[in-house]
Amino acid sequence: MIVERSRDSGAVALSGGQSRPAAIATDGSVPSQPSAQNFLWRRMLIGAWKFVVGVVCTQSFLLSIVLAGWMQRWMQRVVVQQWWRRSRPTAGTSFRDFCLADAQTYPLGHWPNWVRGDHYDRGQPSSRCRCWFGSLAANFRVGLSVLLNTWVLTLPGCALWLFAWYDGWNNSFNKGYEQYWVGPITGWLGVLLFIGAMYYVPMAQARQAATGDWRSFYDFRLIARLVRREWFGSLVLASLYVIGSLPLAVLKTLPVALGVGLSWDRFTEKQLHSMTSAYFLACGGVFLGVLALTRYFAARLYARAIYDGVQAGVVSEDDLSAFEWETLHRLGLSRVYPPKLRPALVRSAAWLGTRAGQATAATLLSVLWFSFVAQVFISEFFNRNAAKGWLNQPLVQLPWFNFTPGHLQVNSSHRRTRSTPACPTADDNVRRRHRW
Amino acid sequence: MAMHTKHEITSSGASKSSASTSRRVFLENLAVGVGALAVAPTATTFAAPGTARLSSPARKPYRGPNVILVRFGGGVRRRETIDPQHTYAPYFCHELTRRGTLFKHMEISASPGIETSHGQGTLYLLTGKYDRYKDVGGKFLGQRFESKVPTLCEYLRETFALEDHETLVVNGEDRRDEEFYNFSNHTLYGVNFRSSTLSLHRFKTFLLRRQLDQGKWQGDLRSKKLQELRQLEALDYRTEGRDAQSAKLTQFWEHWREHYGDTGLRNPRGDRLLTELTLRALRELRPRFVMINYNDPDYVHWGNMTHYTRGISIIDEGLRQLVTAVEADPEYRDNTIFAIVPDCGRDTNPFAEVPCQHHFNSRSAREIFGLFFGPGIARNTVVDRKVEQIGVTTTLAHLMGFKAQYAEAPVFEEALT
Repeated sequence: MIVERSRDSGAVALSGGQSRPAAIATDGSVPSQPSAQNFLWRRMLIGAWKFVVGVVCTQSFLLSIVLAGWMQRWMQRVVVQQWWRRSRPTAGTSFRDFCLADAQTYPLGHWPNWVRGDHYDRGQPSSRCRCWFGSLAANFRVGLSVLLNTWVLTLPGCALWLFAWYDGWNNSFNKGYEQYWVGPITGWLGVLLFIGAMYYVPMAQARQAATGDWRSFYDFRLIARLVRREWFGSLVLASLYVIGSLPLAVLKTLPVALGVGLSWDRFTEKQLHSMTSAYFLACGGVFLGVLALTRYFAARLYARAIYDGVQAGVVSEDDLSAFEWETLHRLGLSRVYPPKLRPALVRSAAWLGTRAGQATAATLLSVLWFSFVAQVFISEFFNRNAAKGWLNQPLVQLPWFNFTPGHLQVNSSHRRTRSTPACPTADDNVRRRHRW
Repeated sequence: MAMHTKHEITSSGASKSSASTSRRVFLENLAVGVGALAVAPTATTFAAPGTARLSSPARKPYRGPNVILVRFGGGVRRRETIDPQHTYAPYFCHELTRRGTLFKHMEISASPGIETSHGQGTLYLLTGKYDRYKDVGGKFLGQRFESKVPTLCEYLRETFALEDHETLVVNGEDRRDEEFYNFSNHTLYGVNFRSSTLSLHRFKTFLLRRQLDQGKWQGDLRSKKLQELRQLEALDYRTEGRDAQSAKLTQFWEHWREHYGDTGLRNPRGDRLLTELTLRALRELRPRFVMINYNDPDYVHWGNMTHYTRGISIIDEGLRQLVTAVEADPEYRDNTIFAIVPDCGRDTNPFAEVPCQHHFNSRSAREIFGLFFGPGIARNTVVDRKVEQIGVTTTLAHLMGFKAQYAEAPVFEEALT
């Protein structure tokens, strides 16, 4: 569950829309801690479970929405954790202790669940449904909201790519010289739109995760300010996307090479479907790792941007959500430090350096995101994946990494009573003449 | 023995002028020394358009069948062509196959280095020999190949007295490198026995030359257009830009220009253009050998399956027009052999959304077919035996009455009556 606290009433807004006085639990008790000895094993098992479920979620459209929501909730934890680390906590205290000490941050004491409600929810009266499926509902709701927000900014560019590819080659096939420009111009427009969106989207996703409010995705001024301030971090983040997407593009395209090399005549379509599904399930593990890395870095970048911005006075209290303000306040990080007085020359040099850095970063960011886009075009050339390959970029939008060909999915769903070869084999050993 | 010079090209396309000069000198001296065996001056000039070597013995006139070699390209599977249940070429599959001999199991060799692609497939058909071709300029994905052994047209013109406009290659605009497959680097054949190419590139070159001659541009623009013309002519570097088209070909392009204008926007496009060029060539140039390099099905590389199936249908319609035109012409009727063969197949990749999107040397990309019909060809016959694509060359050579000595496959005996 994503938790947000109202500054005015002190009430806590829960995922179910209820509000209640801030408290740790209904009966005031603190949940018991597992022993340290079992803690590590338990964490490893839980971590493995969460990873496996995450990989499975990458294979289906609906489950990938759940994965997107889980990622958002996890990012919120990462953001708060980063702030906690910067607060230089006293020895012997843990981040978990910090989270459990307050109702707002209580759910962040552990990694988000996939299905069952968090401990916080389980203490609620009349919440059996939330107890068993609270996290599943939260994951889906949050995932859907971040997906829709991301699509608002990125889908126009992707749609233009799809149109440009279709129309450009259609026009080329029909030798429509008079309209030769439509495909390329549309394609370039889509590329520019997508690159422009990607200046903004990663930080916006992190903001939405941290605040728990879908509206905060559209805090254009604040997010633009944060991106400008963290230009180097934005560069590194974009590089992560580009480098991370390279093996994914290879994995997406590899079946084409495997299909050429294999002697597949003896397999039925059901068997081929199983092979493809197993392949993309394995790829889902790689994809999930890359996705987690990019989201983790985005969360850290956002946390640092807010922290630095607040302390420099660039990010005001009004810019922050209630949850962010309360958390920073608890950690003692909401104090504004006046800027150090530096000689004018040093200040000018710093200003110039920052501006030059920002300008260079803007150019490099464009190049990096263009590389990301180029990978999409190249991988679609080698293995066209209908509309999905253009409209959905799993690392950015819906984390759905399954490119099983449609004809295998359709044909394997029609269960056959007996196995039949995928394609008839030619009888090569007969030497005869036919008379028609 | 008649002597002639050859302009030798390095792998980078540059001319080894000093080496060829030395060779010329050597050959001249050798010819002088032999004396009685030399029947003509050794130093030959680039043969005038339309004529064979000046020093050649008299060649007999060609009375054999006309041949139309259709490259059913660029890359088609058996499934969408000769499979009656799934064909997109119904005229070809249901009618033409009954008129001649269909080789259902023709294949391209699976030996290492033998690629299944358009340029390579075209040269396999023209030369009768598999080879490992590399772009002469070393360009990535370049398809500018040069054959080391003679092409069908060279054999034909070396054996019979044929002018260059009587052996034609009709080429599309998408694969310009294949324009220049019309002669090999072989020392005994080569440019003097080349076929002519009909294509939009040739028309553009003709048009530009004509417009410059007519003084259409002045000043800087004229210089720029001259530069353009040089660039167009330089593409055929082996002839060093001296490949002036014969009077017949010039007249052909004049008629084309009168009919379709200068813009290039009124003539048929894509593979339909190739059909139109061939039909006009049959009427005006009266060729004895034509190769048509159809290619539109290859657009499926970009992922749209309908381009593949539509391309096949367009070729099918083109075949209908060609056969109709041949049958309506008394000189061609009953005297023309059709050979219809793909340059390569396509993949049948179960793991790709579009299974036949590419042709990456898979088994399916090597599986093609061949159809022969016309005089001297067995009718209503299907051959199940596996045969090699390069056998097409030997078979056509046999039918035309010469020996393709560098071709490597035997004649398709089953096709002969």
